[in-house]
Amino acid sequence: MAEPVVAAEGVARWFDVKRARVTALESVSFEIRAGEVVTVLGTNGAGKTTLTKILSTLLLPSRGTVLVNGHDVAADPRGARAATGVIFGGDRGLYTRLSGRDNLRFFGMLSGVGRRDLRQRLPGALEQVGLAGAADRAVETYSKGMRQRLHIAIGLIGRPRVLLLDEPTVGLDPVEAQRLRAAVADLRADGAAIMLTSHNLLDVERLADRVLMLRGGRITHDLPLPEFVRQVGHTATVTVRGRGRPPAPGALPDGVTVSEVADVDGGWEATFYLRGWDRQTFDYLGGFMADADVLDCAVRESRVDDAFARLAGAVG
Amino acid sequence: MSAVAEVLWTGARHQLQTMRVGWRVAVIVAAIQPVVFLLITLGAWPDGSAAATTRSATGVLLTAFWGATVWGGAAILRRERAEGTIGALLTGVRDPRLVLVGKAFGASLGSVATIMTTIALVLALLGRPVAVAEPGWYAVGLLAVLASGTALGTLLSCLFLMTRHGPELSSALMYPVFLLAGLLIPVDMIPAWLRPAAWVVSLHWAQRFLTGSAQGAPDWPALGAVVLLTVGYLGAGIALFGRIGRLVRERGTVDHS
Ligand SMILES: Nc1ncnc2c1ncn2[C@@H]1O[C@H](COP(=O)(O)OP(=O)(O)OP(=O)(O)O)[C@@H](O)[C@H]1O
Ligand SMILES: [Mg+2]
Repeated sequence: MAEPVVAAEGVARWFDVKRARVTALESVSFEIRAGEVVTVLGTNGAGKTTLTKILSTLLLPSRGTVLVNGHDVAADPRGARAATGVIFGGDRGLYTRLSGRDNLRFFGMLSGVGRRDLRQRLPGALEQVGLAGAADRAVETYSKGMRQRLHIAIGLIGRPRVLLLDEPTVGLDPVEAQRLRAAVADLRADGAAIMLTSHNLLDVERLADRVLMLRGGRITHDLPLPEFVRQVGHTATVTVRGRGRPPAPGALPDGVTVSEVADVDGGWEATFYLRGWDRQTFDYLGGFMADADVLDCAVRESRVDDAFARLAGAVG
Repeated sequence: MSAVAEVLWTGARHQLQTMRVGWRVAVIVAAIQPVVFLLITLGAWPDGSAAATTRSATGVLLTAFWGATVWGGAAILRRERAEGTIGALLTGVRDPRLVLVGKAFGASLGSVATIMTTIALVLALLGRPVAVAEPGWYAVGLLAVLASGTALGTLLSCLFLMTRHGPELSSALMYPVFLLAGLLIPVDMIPAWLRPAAWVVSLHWAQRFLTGSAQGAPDWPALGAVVLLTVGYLGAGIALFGRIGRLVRERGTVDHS
């Protein structure tokens, strides 16, 4: 397997605020390989942004080491930066009085792209994020989505080997968000190592190769996406609503559990959790519904957010 | 172009672009102020000689330049923080200190150019000739002023980033330096015990060197003082910005957005 492009080992970070100590990261170790997208999940305040900042060299770890493309972020930040692009969500972080093109040119220079390369890459980079038409307008006239697209162009202009994205689709419409995901997928195909934090379920489902769950400053799970989703404990939830007297669920086959059959205004509702769709399960559900006066039946597949909610300590 | 020059120039150009777009403020600081100062100082000597006009124009140039530096150049980093761009500046591949110096240079260049154009226009309109006996040395003096403004912008910009009270400090610094450094009124009019305050202001020495050159007697020690003070400001500014970068990484006070 390919060598890891990002390697974090025992990373901790705390902040001393007015004699109190806030610990954002307790001890975090993980790796990201070339061509891999790792998404970091965690509740608000779990430490995702702190981790992103440490990888981008904006923040020093209090303990532990991070190697980015072989460079230690604490000892050799310049080396780490040369390999890294950062894209964060939100509409700040741009020179609002300047045009999109001038912003991109300046940030491109900051990321170490030389003048000649920059001149060559600018038109394509603006085109790629659909800003070619608005490139010469001041950024203060841009919509939120346009600003976000400019952030994306800025993050990609240095052709980074490591891309860090912190809630990049925040505030984007679904089309725009899909466009960003396509750009990230392209980069992965080109062999970039990518770390993404997001509260957007679709970002994770469409992009993640692996999911890291951050909780209490530690990584509690580091799993391939399908396995992460399996942490919910069931692959689907079937909710059946009916009239009249609630039927008894009877003997459940292997792989099916049921919540209480509850009375809901004049009728009843039964929720089944299925581990999979096998023959027995079909037969059982068919039999159950044949015996009851059913109004409707809804099937929901388990998704990343179910796993997240469960692992984050909420009900699942 | 060498990499260092490239970064400096890109920083300067970027700052000039920012200033051009913010023309309203630029016009007030760099045009209206010198016009008023010029009209007042020229009015004080209505039938003044070319030598007196040159002296006034030089004083007005430096006064307006100080104002532009203290409000414009010194606010560079504060604005970066307000826009949320400082994180990218600090984590760039290029040395952030070079970028800052480049930006301060751009700010100085923009102010000097606007102020000198304004002064030239006003003098032409009034039909007041100037007389510069040593134009070569006068030009050297102007370059020293430009360098000094760059160094001051770098230093002040770091100092103002470290406090919340940048705008208050700008106005607090503006008038005392106008008066104490003898930019507009001769130092002889200032109480003797206050005069040493002018010695640490490079523009005070620049004033001496420029007027000396205009009169055909360049004041070499004054030029030396400008150079020394400029190097001092620049060194302090660069060191301070390096320290700011380290503190930010230790304390986590800056975000990417
Ligand atoms: N500069 C700082 N000073 C003090 N505490 C901080 C600082 N930065 C982060 N923290 C604390 O560290 C913890 C983690 O914050 P962080 O921003 O990394 O969370 P997050 O996972 O990105 O949350 P969100 O989903 O809300 O963006 C929080 O408790 C936060 O208050
Ligand atoms: Mg965050």
